[in-house]
Amino acid sequence: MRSSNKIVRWAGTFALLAALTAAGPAAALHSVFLTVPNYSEEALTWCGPAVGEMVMEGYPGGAGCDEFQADVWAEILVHKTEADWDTDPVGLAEAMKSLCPPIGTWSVFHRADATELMYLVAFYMTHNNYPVAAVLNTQTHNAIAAHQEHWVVIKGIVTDVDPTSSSSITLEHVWYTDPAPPVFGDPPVEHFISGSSWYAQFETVTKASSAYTGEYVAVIEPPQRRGRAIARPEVLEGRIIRREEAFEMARRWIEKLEILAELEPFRKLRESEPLEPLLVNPKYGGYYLIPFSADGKTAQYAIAINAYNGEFQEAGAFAPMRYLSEKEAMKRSASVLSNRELERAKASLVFTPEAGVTSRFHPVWKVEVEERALTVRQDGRVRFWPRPLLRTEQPR
Amino acid sequence: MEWNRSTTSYRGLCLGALLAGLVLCGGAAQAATIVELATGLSGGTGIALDEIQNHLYYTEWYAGTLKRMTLTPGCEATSPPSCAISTVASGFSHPQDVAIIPDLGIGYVTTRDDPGTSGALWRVDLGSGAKSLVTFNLGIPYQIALGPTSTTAYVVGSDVGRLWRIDLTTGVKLTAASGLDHPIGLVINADGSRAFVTERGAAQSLAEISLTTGARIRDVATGLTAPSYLEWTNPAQVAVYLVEGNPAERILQVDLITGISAEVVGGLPGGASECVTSFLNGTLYAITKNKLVSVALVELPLSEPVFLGVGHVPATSIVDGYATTDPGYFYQVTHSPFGGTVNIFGNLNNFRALGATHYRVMMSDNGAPFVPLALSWNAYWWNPASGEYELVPVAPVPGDDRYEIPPEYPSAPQRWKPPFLMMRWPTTTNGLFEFKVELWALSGSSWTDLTPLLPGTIPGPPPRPANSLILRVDNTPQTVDLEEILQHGTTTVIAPCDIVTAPIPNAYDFRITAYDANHHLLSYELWADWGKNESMTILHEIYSSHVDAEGPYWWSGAPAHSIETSPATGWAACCNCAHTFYLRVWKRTIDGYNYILRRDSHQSVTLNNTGFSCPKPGCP
Repeated sequence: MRSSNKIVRWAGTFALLAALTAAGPAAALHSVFLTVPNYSEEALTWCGPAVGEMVMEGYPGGAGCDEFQADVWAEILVHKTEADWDTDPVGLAEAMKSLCPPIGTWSVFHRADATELMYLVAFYMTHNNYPVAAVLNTQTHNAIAAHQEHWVVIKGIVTDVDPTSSSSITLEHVWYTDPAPPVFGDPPVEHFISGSSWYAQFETVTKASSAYTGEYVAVIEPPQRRGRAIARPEVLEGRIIRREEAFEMARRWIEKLEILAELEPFRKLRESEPLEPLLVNPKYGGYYLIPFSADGKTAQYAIAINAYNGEFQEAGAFAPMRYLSEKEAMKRSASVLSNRELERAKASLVFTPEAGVTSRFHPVWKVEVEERALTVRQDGRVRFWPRPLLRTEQPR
Repeated sequence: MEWNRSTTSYRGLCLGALLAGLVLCGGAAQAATIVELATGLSGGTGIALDEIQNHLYYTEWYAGTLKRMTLTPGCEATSPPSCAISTVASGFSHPQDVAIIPDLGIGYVTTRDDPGTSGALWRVDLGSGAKSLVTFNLGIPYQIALGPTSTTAYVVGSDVGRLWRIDLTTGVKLTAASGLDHPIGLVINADGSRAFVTERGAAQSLAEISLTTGARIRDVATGLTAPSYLEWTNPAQVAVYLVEGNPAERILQVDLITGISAEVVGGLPGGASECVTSFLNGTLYAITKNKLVSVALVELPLSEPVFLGVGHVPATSIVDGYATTDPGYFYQVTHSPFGGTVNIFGNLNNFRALGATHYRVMMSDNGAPFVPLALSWNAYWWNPASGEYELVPVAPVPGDDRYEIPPEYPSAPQRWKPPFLMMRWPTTTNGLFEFKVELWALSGSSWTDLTPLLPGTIPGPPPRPANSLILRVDNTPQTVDLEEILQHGTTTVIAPCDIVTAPIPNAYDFRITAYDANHHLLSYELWADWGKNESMTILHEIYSSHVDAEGPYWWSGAPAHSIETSPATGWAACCNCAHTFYLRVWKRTIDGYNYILRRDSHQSVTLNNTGFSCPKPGCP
């Protein structure tokens, strides 16, 4: 047994926060934040066991268990029912029940409607105070192509009303930990994300052989309940706001999001200096990434602002890193491209699973020249774009 | 230090200790020469060898580096050694060990305490030095052992008492065994079924672990001193080198069948942790806190014999070409040369275990260059279909002088009679003949010479190469003649067939030749037969009473015309009768099973001057 679970509630304290959103009138918010230790995956296919390890240490009242990630994995293998997963939902639920029985039980919840599932997450996190293991998506997210499921731990949730007293709520924010950082072995990435952004990233299972295909999945300490947790959809296209506007919005969000200062991973965010905003995905789904740095160079936090309306999307805490400038990205590309190609090349920051990017805070530079494209990761590694760009077939 | 002079007593000591539950037979090491290859290491810990490139990789705990020493020919021999050293990768957080896959140009390094973790396993590109994390939180990992397929590695986690099986692609780790007491060193056998682990807990032990069940099978050895890393002595995997750290600072050879340990390298520089062997270089390399050192493998005892023996004579009972077996053994000989046709037995089981498919027996005639022996013989082979031993020919591979190691080795040597027969060699000319074994592996039509896997020394005394059998051959017959029967104290000859009567005194001397010009006489005996089964020994001399009488291994017997008077008053007949006097002379020459050179000489006379009729009670 290790840490005790800490419940933080701010019912009625988020009027200012809500006012900053474009969501209309200010409202009293309800939140649950649990104390859950962070662990990165110890193998490239172990986001599931890492999530299990974190969840089991995050039981309420200090009733959790300190298990080796390897033992969680071994137990998952014992209980696994779907071979196409490294960690399938039943395997994870049964492993946690076996290794560290909760007061109730662990159940696999799966819904075709994400809002239904997130309502259940909000309800039981409020009611039972257990963290939740959720399948963020089933996209390949590292060098192991066969590993697809991407488990995360939901540690906190902010809604407009208490989900235990209403079956229709608005999902304002989700606080989750991703145990699969872009650089294997780094600390896990902390995400504090708006409900809209959460739904933009939360995906159904796409494994053809899975019983959960087409559904959103989470492992929750239950019992069954019905309801919805809605959020406005994110704006994905339109006129891109100016960089200065984004910078100002970020500054204001930091000021206004007092909630972040209360969360341990983000405690020093306010003491950090914002760096130059970076526009990511300029063609579609754009956002500004505003890094925050304690030394003016390396960033340990970042805020993602919607590039079209300036809405807060997500705050992240991660291993210290330095963002490459466009000039640096082009310079790195010189190892692959000829000088002539470099002259014609264009670079943009992108966040897309296609390029193996799984964190909004770790976009890659996409350097394009004619039909060729490269990715330049923030650590400087250069790769060819995963799929070749095809010329449009011209009629003869 | 020296090996005990008596092999028997040394073995007896060890077996006694084994029966008493102690398995360490310390204090019996030869003094191996330690050569310093590099000094000033910053906390040397792990070591690995690329025999193809002749690169030695090692880790430095304090500096956090993985370094490479290039073993260019002769660089070890200069003073000081001049083998080039370069840094492959740096920035490790207290690296503990290194293992490499030379074919892929990849290395793996365990680290003790990367920030936020309890130690990690890293992959290193040995060309570029780029490193990437494989997995972490291993609970203070120490030695790495690569699995049979090189897609898996095993690592011990000292603080968690676990043996991890790690997928080198994904980093997935499974607990192969748990409940270990601060494991440090590790080797995995070739088929991946067994692990051997040193533990620095209370027992200071070497444990055998099943990788199938994870169960601890047994403690191979206990009571070790700061047991550190392990290395197989050779591919046969019947013994390991075990490095003992401070304060022992030595390398033990531990036999995994019996658990018997013996020091093979002592007096290592402080902080010894790991060793590796290069059979191509004939060298054992060891790393210590500040130094990298080497020892010639030929100075170390082999864990398994090459030659088993000649006939009934164990190979190690043949010194300077002469066979000497111990009293109590069913076949006891002393200083016997060899002759006739000898059966030479080889360790075909071990040859197989070392990876050989064929062997070749090379012979040097009195110091001449070695030449292969290509001979044929017959042996019995168990036919499972008929249920009988059947006579079959044994011959080299057609058109070659290599012999295939029969498939019955090593699992069913009992199907051959005699088992382990490697060469049946008809001796001819006299002299000193030396034999060596070459091991070969045939793959397709390509031969690979595995002979370098057979270095080592038989401790002796005197110490001698393990892959060497020297036989002294002596097929020359001895000279034997019962020349004359003489009246005692005179030169008066009693001629064959004479009838001797009174007053000729009943007292006789004998003039004989019982002589071996090659000095290898075993015995000569003179006796008389008479009447009905009456017999009396007159004299009997044997080598055991004349050991080394004329120099090492030499005794020639009675030269020509020697007068033998026994007793001093002359030999007396017991009763009147016809007598036949026999002189029988043996040489010490054996074929491994029997003495083969005997010659007799006899004379008959009638002695009727005793005053008594035969048979006479109490006679002789």
